[in-house]
Order: sequence, then C-alpha cells, then structure tokens
Amino acid sequence: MKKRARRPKFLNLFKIHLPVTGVASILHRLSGVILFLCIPASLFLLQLSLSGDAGFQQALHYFSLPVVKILLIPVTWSFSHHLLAGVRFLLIDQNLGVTLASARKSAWLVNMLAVLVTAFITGASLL
Amino acid sequence: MSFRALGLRTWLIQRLSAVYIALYMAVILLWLLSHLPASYSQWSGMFSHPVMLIATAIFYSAVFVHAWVGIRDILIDYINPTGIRFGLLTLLALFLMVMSMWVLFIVIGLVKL
Repeated sequence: MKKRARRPKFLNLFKIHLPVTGVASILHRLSGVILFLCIPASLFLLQLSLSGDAGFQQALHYFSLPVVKILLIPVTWSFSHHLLAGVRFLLIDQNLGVTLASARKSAWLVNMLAVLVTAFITGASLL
Repeated sequence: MSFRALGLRTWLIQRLSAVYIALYMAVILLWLLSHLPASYSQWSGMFSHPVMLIATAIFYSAVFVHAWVGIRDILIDYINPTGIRFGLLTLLALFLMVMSMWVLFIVIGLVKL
C-alpha cells in the first residue's frame, strides 16, 4: 500500500486556541504529572517525620523554608485542580453536565475554583 | 480484539483508586486540622494506630495504581516509537515498585504487635 501524503502539522502551542474544557483537561493531565513527581519527596518527608524527635523537627523545619513554601504553591494547585477536574470527569461519566453549555460552565468553575482554593490555602498557611 | 474488557477494567480501577484517595485525604486533612500534632510522640502515636497504618498502606497503593494508569496514558499518547515507550513503561513500573517497597518499610517500622 502506498504511503499517504504527510498530513499538515499545526503544533504551534501559542496559536492553538483550546476551548475552556480543553484547558481543564490538559491542566488535569499536567497537575497529575506534578503530583506524580512529588511522590518521592512525600515519602522522604513522611519517613523523616516518623524517624524520631530530631527527624520530626527537621521535617517541620523544611516546611518553614521560603523556597519550600513557594514550591508548595504549584503542588497545592496541582492537587486542587486534579481533584476538582477529576470530580468533574466522574460527574460527566454519570451523565451529569454532558451538554456543551454545562460542560463549559463546569470547566470554567473547576479552573477558577482550583486557583481560589490554592490562594486560600496558601494564604491560610502564611498566617 | 479484547474480550476481557481490559479497557473497562482499567477505567474502573482509575475511578475506584481516585475515590479512595479523595476520601483518605479528606479524612486526614480534617483530622489534622482538629488534632494538629505538636510533637513527634503525638504524630507517631497517631500514625502508629493499626487503622491508620492499614489505611495509609492502601492509600499509597491506590496512588501508585492511579499513577500507573495515568502516566501510562500519557506515554501512550505522546511517545510514538514503540521501543522507547516500552522502555519508559518498564522504568515507570520499576519506579512504582521501588516506591511501594519504601512505603512497606515505613509502615512496618511502625507496626507494634
């Protein structure tokens, strides 16, 4: 069988206009990867905090460092967005919000809510 | 053609692990907000409870299963050369197995029979 003529590729990410539902979806994927990358660090901190008095204090010390607090912002967002977008997908699986209009609204809501929750948690932790 | 409905099974596993993860996180976060451990003995005391140890072991199992399905989907979508994709999937499996052993060591270290 003859090879087909190569399809045109249009992968300039700055020119592709993703609908809001697409934004929620790709961010769900991105946040998932970020959370995945946090697994070793979370196990390290868990082990450290449970190793004894010194380990517990050392773990608390890590959380007080400014660079850690800053890194925790995208991590908090990742968990919030991944959870909220995931719940949105679960609802869509149950046929709740499958019309285009409702899907757009729920995607918008999820995107905004994840940022708000992150801002709230970050603010609360700094107090 | 798959008559064993592997796609459906994977889809279901992804959902079930997600629900458990969400429930565990909600319970832990609510518990911590009301009983913030101020010392090592409080923290390890709370963690050493058998229910907590078992729930946590299952939690990490759920995370690793959920992560396997998710990252595997990403590799399938974006890595076209079969050899590289196979290699990365193998590395992923190895990584998750190592993480599982790590969790096992942490949990066993706290078990008091």
